[in-house]
Amino acid sequence: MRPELSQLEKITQYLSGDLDANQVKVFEQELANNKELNDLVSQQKDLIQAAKRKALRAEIESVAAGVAGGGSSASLFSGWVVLGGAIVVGLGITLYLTLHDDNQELKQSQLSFSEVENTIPMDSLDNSDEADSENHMKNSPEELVLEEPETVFSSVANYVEESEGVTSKYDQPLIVSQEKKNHNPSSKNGSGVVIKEKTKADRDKNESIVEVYENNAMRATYPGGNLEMKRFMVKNLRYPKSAFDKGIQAVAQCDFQITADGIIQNINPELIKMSEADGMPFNDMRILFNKKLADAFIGNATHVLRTMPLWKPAKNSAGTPVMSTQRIYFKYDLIRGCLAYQLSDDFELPISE
Amino acid sequence: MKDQEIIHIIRKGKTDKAIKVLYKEYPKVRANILSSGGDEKIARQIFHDSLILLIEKVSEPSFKLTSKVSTYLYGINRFMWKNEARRRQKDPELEWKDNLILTADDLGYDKEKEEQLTQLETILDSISERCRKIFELFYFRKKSMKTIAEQLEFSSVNSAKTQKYKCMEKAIQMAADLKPTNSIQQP
Repeated sequence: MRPELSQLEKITQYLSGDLDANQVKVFEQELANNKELNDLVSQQKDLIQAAKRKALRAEIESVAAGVAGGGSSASLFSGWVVLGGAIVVGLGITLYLTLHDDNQELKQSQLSFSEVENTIPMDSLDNSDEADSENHMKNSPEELVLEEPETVFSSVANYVEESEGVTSKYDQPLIVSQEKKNHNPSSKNGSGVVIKEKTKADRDKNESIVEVYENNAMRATYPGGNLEMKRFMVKNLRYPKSAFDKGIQAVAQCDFQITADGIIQNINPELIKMSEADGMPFNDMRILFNKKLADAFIGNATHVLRTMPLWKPAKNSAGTPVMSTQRIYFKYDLIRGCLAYQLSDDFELPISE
Repeated sequence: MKDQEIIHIIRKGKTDKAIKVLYKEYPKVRANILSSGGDEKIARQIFHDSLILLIEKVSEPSFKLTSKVSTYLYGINRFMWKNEARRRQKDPELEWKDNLILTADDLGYDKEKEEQLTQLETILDSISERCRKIFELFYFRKKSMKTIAEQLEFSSVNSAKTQKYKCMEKAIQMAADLKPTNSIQQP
């Protein structure tokens, strides 16, 4: 080996702790006096760290490619739909079997499933179609794409909507009707009560979603639930044409109050971001010169809120309706179309009295 | 998986398993970055950088966990995104849940050094495939020189060793060559 190379070797041995105490002493003495050597040591240290990072990065990339969520979230959610569906079908079949087996047993099974049933709205029959159409929606850019697991109206899978269909197919009105009436007095045929709790299987699947629902009974909700709200958004949320033609994207954040009567008031819109088609955020100058576009975005967002039907107001722990605040983000994206979402971090408990 | 298990497998070098577990935090981070003005690409990049930082931290023998691993990772991501947003010179909407706020000192994060390391990573891109393989196997997979010599079909352990130091010399040389041009560009 050339002397330069043996020096590198010496450094490597020093760094990896292969030298014995005596050798370390000698080497460190040399280090103190020799700046060049010192530089070499730190260079090699950095190089080794960089090499490790490189390999680690490659490993992360490969794991990311394997994780469904890393690739496209759409596929992840359709996965959930399938999973959720499978669980629900399983439940349904178990119920069905017990029903036919023994009437006595049925009552028991009702008891044991009651936790689940509480969470499931039972009255709509066309759910499987619904789930399908929701999936298709995701493919067309004009539609509302809701995919963040944080969001309230994210994926169909979160709502266990399919379950209603399956269970009601096996015809067991006994179990729910009472529960349902309590929760959803306004709509006889509405597509469901908002789910209060997640089933255990769901909980295992994704912890972060559970947080969203923990206090759901207390929060103000859109009449008919989030799926209904999603439909409303799809119908009413539009990309402002002037902005679309100019290729400008934006995110609007709307805070608003829901009174004890369910009326939306005090809408406070704010454009938190405007950017070019390539994602470059606007500088102050651009914002100043594009006031009209900003108004167009805000106009559309507030229009959507203003035309919403009455909400179901938030309730305090005593069950009395109270005023509450909500925050919805409207994202206008050139490629993915318009989105509306809520973040779990924004949820507040209603002000109690 | 429990936090202690995660730390244990990272230290044992089974990073891929740990990454798989930690990647479950990505959607949360991604949603946060997207809602505060980032895009998909940067979200992924920041999450990956944060993962690397976390794994490096955890691998240090002196590392002691003061919170949950996921919280810590979340804190690192928040820190990294704040850094990035500052670099882009825009006011970030940082409405992340502030349960763990980390500073550069907490993380031992040195901007200059990070830049240097990024540069070194690009240099490693341009050295020969064989060199890269040796580095990966030796430093990351912690294989012995003997195994490496066998795996990469070197005639002897010694020639593999020599090759490794040659690669190292070359990379260091390249880094040194790059430096002066950089210092001219920067001011």
